[in-house]
Amino acid sequence: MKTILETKELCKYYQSHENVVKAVDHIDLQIQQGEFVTIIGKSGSGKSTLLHLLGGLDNPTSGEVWIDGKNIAGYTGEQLAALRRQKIGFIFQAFNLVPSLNVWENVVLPIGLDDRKVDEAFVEDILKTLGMEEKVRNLPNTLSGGQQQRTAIARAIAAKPSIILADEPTGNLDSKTGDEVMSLLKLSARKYGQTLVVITHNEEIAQMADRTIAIADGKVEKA
Amino acid sequence: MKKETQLFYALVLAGALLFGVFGLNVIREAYLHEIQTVQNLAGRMFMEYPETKSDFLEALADMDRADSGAGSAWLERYGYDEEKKMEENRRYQHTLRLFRRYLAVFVIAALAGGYCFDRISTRKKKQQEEQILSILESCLSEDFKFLDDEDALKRLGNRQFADTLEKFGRKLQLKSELLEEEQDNTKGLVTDISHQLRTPLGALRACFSLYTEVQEQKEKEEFEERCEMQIDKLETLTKALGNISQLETRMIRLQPENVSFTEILAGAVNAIYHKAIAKQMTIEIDEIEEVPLFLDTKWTTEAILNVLDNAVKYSPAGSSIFVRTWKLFSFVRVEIEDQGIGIPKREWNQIFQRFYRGNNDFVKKEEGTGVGLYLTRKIIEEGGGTISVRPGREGGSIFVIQLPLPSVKGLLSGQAGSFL
Repeated sequence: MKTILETKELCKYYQSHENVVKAVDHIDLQIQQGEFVTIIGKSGSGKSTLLHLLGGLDNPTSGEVWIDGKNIAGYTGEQLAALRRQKIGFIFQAFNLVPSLNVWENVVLPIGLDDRKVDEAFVEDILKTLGMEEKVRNLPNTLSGGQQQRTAIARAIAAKPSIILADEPTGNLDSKTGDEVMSLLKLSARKYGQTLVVITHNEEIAQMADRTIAIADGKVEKA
Repeated sequence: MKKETQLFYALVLAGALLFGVFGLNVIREAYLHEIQTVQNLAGRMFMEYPETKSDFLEALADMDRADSGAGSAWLERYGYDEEKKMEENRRYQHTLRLFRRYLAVFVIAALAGGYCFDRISTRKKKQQEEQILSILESCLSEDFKFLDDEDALKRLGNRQFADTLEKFGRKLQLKSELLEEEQDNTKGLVTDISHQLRTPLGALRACFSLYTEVQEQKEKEEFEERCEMQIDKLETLTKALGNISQLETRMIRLQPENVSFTEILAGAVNAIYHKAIAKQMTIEIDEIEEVPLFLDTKWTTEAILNVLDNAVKYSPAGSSIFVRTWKLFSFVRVEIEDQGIGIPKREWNQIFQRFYRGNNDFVKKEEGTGVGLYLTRKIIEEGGGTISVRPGREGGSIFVIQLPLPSVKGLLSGQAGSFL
């Protein structure tokens, strides 16, 4: 299988008062194309920092991140932004929808930013399967948490990225809605051959993945 | 529009514009010349014969040029032929030559430019076609190196085309890798199966050889019984192995059909009912909403039955099993809770693996093949659902099964419109 996401000796240290906090401490990961991986760890274990590094949202102290066979260390801010828009879809716990845009506008926003043509039939199809077709003109504040996260999922899928990075996607949802959202995410990733990396502290949700990576104190725990 | 096309049009336009400016200049000069001639005439006439002023101005204002014939005749008598003079005018001749030359150059340049442009674009198109063909051919021979070579795709020129080809290649690559993986998996399965069969077969052989050796009738009967037990075990195992190997090698394809959720759940509960009664266990089911599903009835029922079977098997006599259901937005959620031995967190993932059996003594004591939950997960996931486990409220476990509603059918793989 082809490795689509890889880290080599990845480190991220923060200076806090007199101490150095090792949020990510020499992590070597290999994630294959089409794989569904959960990264599990308690809060403060460094898992969110790791996800930000994987998505090029943050710079490592040392070590390398390889996305689709390319070391992103040499990329300028602009190149990184383009890479993120084309290859990576993000889903966050807080949904991160733009409040003044309706569902449709939120979903197609990243495609527009990348100056690509919106595949309208495809986006309609996604919104329909995610059960959002009647809420297309709604503003985010009129939606329930589950509906907002569905919108965020649709946004992540609509740009047809090869990788979806999700940070506690069910963190703001009740357990039934959370399970459902995870299943939807898994189904869509499988259908579109996308690699799915989900960060969670919830071991019940982590079970749905092909593989679980446990993180503690910035390091990968041995299984 | 392509750069070459734009350049070509720009050149032709610029040529035409220059042509126009040239023409305007000629007209302007001719007009000036005429004005000067009239001014000259007027100057001389008014100085010498001031009384002809009004006649002169009248003739100048006469748009019909009524007297031009008479004038021409007078002038000709003095050998002054204006038209002929014009033809002989060097300046006029020069302008005319320049005009013709310019026209010829313009036409030739436009034709040559068009021809070159056509040649270049044809060649480019041909190169692109060759590039596409070479990519398609490397796809055919399962050589996916072009996917990592960005230039190869860039050379296609057309971004949408390159994107589609890239996705096509990736999908094909994934498929061929999946196929390889499946083959490896089958090899592993064969090894696993032979390994699984070895233990009961060995036990059977031991029993049988003891049976032939012992003389006493009572001992003989005992070994006969043990042999039969091993044979039963083998039978269960072969059946289970048959199921999983068929499912894994895709000899069984799940056949989704329209079925009601009640039918599936009732089928599973009915099949386990007697086993539960025999253990004085009760199965408590919440009211079930009638939900239409699109799933393989037989195998989905089998999958739920496996979970119920475990619940009965690994729970104390007299305990209860609770079945709760919810219709959610995209899925039906089924929770099956038992009051049994429970599953430690570290085993949550392992219980769904092939041939895994718990380390608990209670589990070891019970008959089992380590196939049930593996099969269950495979069937449910194949149908687009999920299964997971979490701790029960009073010990025991809760198995959570989510089955997709027909509305998310579009998300099930194998549908058109997928991409990479």
